[in-house]
Amino acid sequence: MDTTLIIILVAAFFLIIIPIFLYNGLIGKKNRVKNAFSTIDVMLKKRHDLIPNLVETVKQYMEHERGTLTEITKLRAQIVDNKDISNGERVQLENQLTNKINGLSLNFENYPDLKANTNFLQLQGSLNEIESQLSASRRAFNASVLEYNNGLEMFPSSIIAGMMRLKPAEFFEVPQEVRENVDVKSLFNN
Amino acid sequence: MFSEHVNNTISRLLIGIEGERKKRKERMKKLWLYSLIPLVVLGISFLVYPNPVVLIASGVGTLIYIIVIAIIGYSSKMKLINVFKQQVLIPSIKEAYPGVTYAQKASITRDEFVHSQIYSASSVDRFKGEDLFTGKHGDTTFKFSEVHVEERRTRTDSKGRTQTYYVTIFKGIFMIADFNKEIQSHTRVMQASDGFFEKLFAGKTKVSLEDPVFEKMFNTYSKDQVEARYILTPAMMERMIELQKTWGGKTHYSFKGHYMFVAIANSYNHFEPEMKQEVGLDQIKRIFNEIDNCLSIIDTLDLNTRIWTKQ
Repeated sequence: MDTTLIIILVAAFFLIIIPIFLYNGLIGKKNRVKNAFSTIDVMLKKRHDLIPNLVETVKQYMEHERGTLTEITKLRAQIVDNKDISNGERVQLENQLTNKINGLSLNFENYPDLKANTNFLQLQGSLNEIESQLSASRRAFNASVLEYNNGLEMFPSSIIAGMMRLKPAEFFEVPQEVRENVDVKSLFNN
Repeated sequence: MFSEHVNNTISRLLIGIEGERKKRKERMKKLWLYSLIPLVVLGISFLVYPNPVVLIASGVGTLIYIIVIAIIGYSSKMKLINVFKQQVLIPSIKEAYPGVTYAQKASITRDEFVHSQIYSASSVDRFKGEDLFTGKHGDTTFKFSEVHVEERRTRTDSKGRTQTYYVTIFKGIFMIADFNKEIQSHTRVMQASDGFFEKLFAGKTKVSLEDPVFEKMFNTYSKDQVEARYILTPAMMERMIELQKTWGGKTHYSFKGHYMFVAIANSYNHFEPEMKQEVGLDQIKRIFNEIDNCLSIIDTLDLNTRIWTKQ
């Protein structure tokens, strides 16, 4: 084979084929981030569907938590009714909702009558399930963000990413209150 | 360890088995000593008649004698082990582990092993197992047994002759336990042994998790990235690391349907009485310890926590 032809083929490989692979790889990673976020969305919607039932069941037992229950209902309505809300604001509201629900869950133990209600136990199981699924989808989302951001920053895909003007995606941050250790003393004071 | 009635019965049986074991030991000692006779005859006959035919005939005779003794020794040992397991071990387990059933000759089936997809079905050419335990530990139903799986391979020598041989792909404890979460997809956690190309071609099924120690120890594959993380919570990953450190051998997991499958490679022959030692309560205690170690897999992995929708 002619040496020139070989050089042309090798150059074509480096200039056309590899950039195509890198481009497709980046698009794939970007779509995986989108897909992972939509999974979180599905879980959040499941949680929204569960909240009215949960509030309805626990409110007759948890007289002292009326304030928290009202806040939970209000936050849910803010998210569900407000379709034009931005992703950032939505994440913030969802995190507030997570905190409120977690706070409420910790107090379930103080109400023995509530723990004896089979309907409540079923709802508690579903809530735990959704929270675990939610945590898993957040982690899956963060893993795909990490993979995508690595693609943007690592050579040689960073060159293609620069040309495509791709911006790094943001991790789904866990709310500050969840990250902090549980203050056992404050639980006893409740 | 047992109620008085069971303790008395078991002690009586153990005394009987121990007596038999001692008698067998003496008998075998004598039989092995007798094997010296043909050897002496062999030596003398060769000195008197230095004829190769005499040498070969005496040699073959001695060999046959040794094989026969070995067979007698093995079968008498197995007979004693069977008596121990049937008459002592089964009632002991019934007494000490209520709700747990033990079957000496049964095991996890080939279909159950293949269903886990820890190993490919095409690799399971020869399958055997024993010592099946089934029952409930806390809220978790389980079954486990010893399993030995071999793959058939062929090799061709320089003259073009093919030879078939078997390679062990798994030997150890295989457990199936009811998992405490609902699983829709299939997730495999394999102790890190996959080569570069296996990882490369795993593609989107490879799950990268956050725990660096876990990632170094295991490779995770799943068609559902979220479900894999739903199963492998940070706490679960830590428990799996702990379990691996306890057992030492290679550990693989599969999460499928309602079940968790655990394969712990271990060449040690579990749940067997040691016939070279005194057969007494200590041997039962040792076997109970091995059963406890297997049941502790459920505790270590916290499968009895049932706070999700699945009860």
